Amino acid sequence: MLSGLTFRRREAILGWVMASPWLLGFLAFTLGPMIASLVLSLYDWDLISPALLVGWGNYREFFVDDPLSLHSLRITLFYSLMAIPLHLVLGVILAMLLNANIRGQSVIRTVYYLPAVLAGVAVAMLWRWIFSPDFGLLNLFLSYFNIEGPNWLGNRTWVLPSFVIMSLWGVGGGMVIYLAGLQGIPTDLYEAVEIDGATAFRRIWHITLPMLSPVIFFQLIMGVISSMQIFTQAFIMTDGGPANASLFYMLYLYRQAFEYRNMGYASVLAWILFLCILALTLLLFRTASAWVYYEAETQRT
Amino acid sequence: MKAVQVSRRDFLKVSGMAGAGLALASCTAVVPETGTEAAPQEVTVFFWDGPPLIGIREEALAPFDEAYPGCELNFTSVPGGWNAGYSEKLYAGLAANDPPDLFIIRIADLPEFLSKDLLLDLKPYVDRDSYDLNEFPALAIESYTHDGGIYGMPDNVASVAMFCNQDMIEEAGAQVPTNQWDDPGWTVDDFFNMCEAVTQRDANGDTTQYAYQVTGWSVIWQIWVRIFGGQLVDDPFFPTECTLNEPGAVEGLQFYADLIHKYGFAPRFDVMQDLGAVELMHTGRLAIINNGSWSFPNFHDVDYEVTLGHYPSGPGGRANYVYYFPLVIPKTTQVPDCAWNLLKYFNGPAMEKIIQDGGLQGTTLSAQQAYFLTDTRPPQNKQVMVDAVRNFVAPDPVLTNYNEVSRTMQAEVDLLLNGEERDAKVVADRIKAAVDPLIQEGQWR
Repeated sequence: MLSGLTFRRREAILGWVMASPWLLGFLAFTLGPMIASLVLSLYDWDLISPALLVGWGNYREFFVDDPLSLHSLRITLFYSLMAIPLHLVLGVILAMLLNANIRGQSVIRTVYYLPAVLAGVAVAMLWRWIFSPDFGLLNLFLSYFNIEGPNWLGNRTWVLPSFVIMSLWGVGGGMVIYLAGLQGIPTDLYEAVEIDGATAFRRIWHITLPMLSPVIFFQLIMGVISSMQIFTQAFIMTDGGPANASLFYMLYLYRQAFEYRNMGYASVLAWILFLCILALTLLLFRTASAWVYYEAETQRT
Repeated sequence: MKAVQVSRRDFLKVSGMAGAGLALASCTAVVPETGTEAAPQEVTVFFWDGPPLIGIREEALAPFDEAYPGCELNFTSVPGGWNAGYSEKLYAGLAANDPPDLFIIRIADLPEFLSKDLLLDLKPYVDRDSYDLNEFPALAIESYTHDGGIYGMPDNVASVAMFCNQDMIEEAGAQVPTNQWDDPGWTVDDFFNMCEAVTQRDANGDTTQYAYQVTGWSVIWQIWVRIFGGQLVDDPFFPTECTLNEPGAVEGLQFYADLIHKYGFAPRFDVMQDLGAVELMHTGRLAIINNGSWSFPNFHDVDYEVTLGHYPSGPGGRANYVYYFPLVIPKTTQVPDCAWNLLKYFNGPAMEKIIQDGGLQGTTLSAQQAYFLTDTRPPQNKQVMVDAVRNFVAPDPVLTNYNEVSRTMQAEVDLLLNGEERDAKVVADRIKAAVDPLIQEGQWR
């Protein structure tokens, strides 16, 4: 069938054919629903009655009439601002510690990585017990230092920090990627600065961190994306409470879509979240040239 | 034998023709064989059964096909309840114009279904079969009624009650909650005195034994609001405004929260979420909890006397809360008669078995009465549950967005119960400010 075609053309057609399952999947299950949700955002639709065109009404509701939309966005951003830096710093520190040549290195690495394997509902339930005000492990630990632990999940002040603490459970997942990055740093760079008499701090500051910066950048982007979409923990542990203090954006979106069946408004929420994540990602990419060092990159003069 | 070589082109030709032939064959109409009976009509039903009900309802409905030979039951259960996949499955079916022929919804969702004219009016079937509606709690049927039509039948009518560790209360020399609805001798003051007597503290002032469970469960704080003469809204069937900030309601909320934060009669409600009230009761640290008939199996084998009691009466009289989720038939069903027959069967022979197997409290008052008066297993005084249903007077506000209204109320009440806010009036005023616009949005008739 393809015999009359040139090799290049035949190869191009085969390439498209091979990629077509993914392309079809992308069109049907990603791009299609995205376009549909963009159209839906202009409608009032509850799944069971005909959609009603409301134009920008849903967007107006988001920015003007609905106090919970911006509230949920604010607390999600606040959570991200607390969680992402902590993840980056602790992940890098942990990776550097576990990069040292010590006995039982593999076992220790596995132990730190293990929590990242567990996720979802089981972990949420486990942490509910840990945060229990009267019987939880955390407050028991604090009591050894004569500190009366707070009502972690039941208090508006402490509920977000609780989720941040809980998120550190998965820091081992990032650690593995940092470890891979650390092991890719050429040892001759360290040998060179050692000959120059650099201290440990200078070695980290001038060699480790710049060489690791692409990995840190990657982790930062992924951290922004995942933390803006936090859902399961809040859904299981607090259901957005107390008094909406943990009503994360995705939880609110879920409620609008699947509890109140405001599909049009939920689409607005989804698109605004997408734009927020896109904006933050682009912003980070714009700043990347100032602090991310790519070894293979040719410096333009 | 000479091998026949088939070229790729020939193979594709033959395959293509075979495929086309099969496709054409599948498009032809199926003609029933002469002399065979018409196939039974399939009637699909959706429930959300999880433990302990899982399997019980399906088994009880299994003989339906024999009782109605023209119908064939297709039973689907989506475990976990409304928000655990059931509603998504149901709404997907509705959106695709292919809903089940009979399904359960929450009472709070009924106004939305009615406002969109999605449900089949059962009144003609009730009249045709002279179906006795007096068997059901009147307020439940009234809640399913709209413009003279009846759009649902109960799936279950279940009340809550005070589950009491009678031994603990009697040891403290206190009054055990009454099992008589009309008993004038069980008031809020009596309840308070009982709490004072039962609550015990050690030398350090730490509470070792609590009297009562204060919970974030919305139906319980609503009961206390009603006991003190308050209401959620001005008129549950035609609500126009939230009335939680009126004196009776505020007093009820304040009293309920004070049981934890002022008097120390109840453990903090977030502690209850972690430990579970039943466990605290079993271990002798809590005398009274709020619960329903679904929890009976937890008390069959306890080593203390457990009895049911009514909530105390106050300025608003005695109160309770009753669940009365409806079973409904969509207007678009192709098998209305089978669906109606299934509904009747569910509330008849099947329900008796379901109640006996410990799944539900039941729908008809006679079936509830028959079971609760004869079952001797703990807890005692199960009649309390039936009395509560019989005297049930406070339906949920009929609004298309009551779920959102309810969530908005609960967010503020949580602050009162967890002690972040101590003044019930402040909380109630905030609730009214937030809820009144929602009530305007949710009105539909």
